[in-house]
Amino acid sequence: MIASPDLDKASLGAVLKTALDAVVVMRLDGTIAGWNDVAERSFGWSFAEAQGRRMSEIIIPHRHRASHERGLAHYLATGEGPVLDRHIEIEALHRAGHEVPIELSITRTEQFGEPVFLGFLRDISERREAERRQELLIGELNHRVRNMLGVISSIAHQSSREAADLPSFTRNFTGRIAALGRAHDILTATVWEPAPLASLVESLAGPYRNEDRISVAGDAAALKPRELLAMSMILHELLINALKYGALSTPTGRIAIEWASENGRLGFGWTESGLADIAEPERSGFGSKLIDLGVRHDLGGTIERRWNPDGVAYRLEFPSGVERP
Amino acid sequence: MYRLSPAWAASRGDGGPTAPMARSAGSPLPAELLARPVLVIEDEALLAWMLESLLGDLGFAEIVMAASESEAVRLLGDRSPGAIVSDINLGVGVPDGVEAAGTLAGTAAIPVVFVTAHAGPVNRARIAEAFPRHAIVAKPVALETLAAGLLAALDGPSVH
Repeated sequence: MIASPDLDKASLGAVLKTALDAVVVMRLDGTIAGWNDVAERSFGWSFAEAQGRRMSEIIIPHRHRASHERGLAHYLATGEGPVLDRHIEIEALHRAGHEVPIELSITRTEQFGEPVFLGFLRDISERREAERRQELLIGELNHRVRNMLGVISSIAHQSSREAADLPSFTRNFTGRIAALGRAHDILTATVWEPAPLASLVESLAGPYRNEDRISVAGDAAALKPRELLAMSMILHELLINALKYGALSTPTGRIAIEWASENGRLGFGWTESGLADIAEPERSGFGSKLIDLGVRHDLGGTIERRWNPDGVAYRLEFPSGVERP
Repeated sequence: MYRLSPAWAASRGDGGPTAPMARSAGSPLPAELLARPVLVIEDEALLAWMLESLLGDLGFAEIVMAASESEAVRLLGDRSPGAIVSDINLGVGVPDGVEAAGTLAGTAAIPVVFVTAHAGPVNRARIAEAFPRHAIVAKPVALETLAAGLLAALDGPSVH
């Protein structure tokens, strides 16, 4: 610290009192001679309690005490102080026993009429917490990306088994990835908080809702991210199946989509009508396997499939924790 | 790195996921392993399905798919699997894959392959301590890496 020699020492003390960092004055013998308001708040000791006590006994964690005392003795003997006039990140001890991460800067000064050490200690708990959160988020992001890569390679794998040729593989595969993309769009908008099932249905079925062939009636049920992703795959397969073989493959076909949530469970119905001579297919393909797996494995629910003469009907039920009033 | 023999690699792909064909004659895995049920513990349906069809391709006669420890216990009853393929992270608030595989393996030295996005040092240590015969395979998994993982786990103490 540099100040004009004619400055009033008491005023300098008043300035340090209002500093934003904890300010601690330590005499050359290692005892505390100054302690501002922030120091009181940060470490839990009032100036009256701290005054005259050894710095190492009050705010230095046990494991650092010996090296602190050694460093002080070394400085007094040789004038070498490697910790002086630098920024150091270290832990300080609070009166209550917990440690506080701090950024520390110590300088030797004679501004108070005798040589003392002047320490500025900044509580960096918030910064550390932000760093910790960021690491967690990156870890979570990495996990999700890896998982999504696994999901995509599984979709590619299964789509290739079902496809008759490369063009149909490409069409099916990209359609499935696009459905996942829609669910991600919705989850991005809600910042990965529960999102309305209605948004997903509108996003996926919306393009086919011309001429009122699809009716939608559902409550404000919100699905957790995982549930919404699973439902996006299921809905996509239902739609694709309807386009290829079902209600959307003929001009007379209709689909009624409805859902309701109650007591932590969601019931979802998909009823196709307006078709003729519907028979249960002999072999179940990718779509029905994915729907079954999605409902049972991802959603932990049940599925009922009925082959009515005028169209197929599905009834899904699964536990879904979140509802919106 | 383990490689598929061309003849065997060429023979895969014609069996549906629900009807894996017994191909132990061409599989790199020993017939006595393929004859026993393999347990898959993976909470993500599509990843479980992928594992199911890869294990079918490898020639396992019975594949038991579970999303959690409790489901695996329910599905297997008192039978013990010949091998376990498990994810590590199975969601919040339930036993993770390391715990689940431990429960299902019991005291038997069953080969366990962990398929995971990221096995941190803590999980690696837990796995090494609990499973004398294990391998860790990175997600996303391919046929070759899964086969190599199973062979490595069969071989005993891991050298990873």
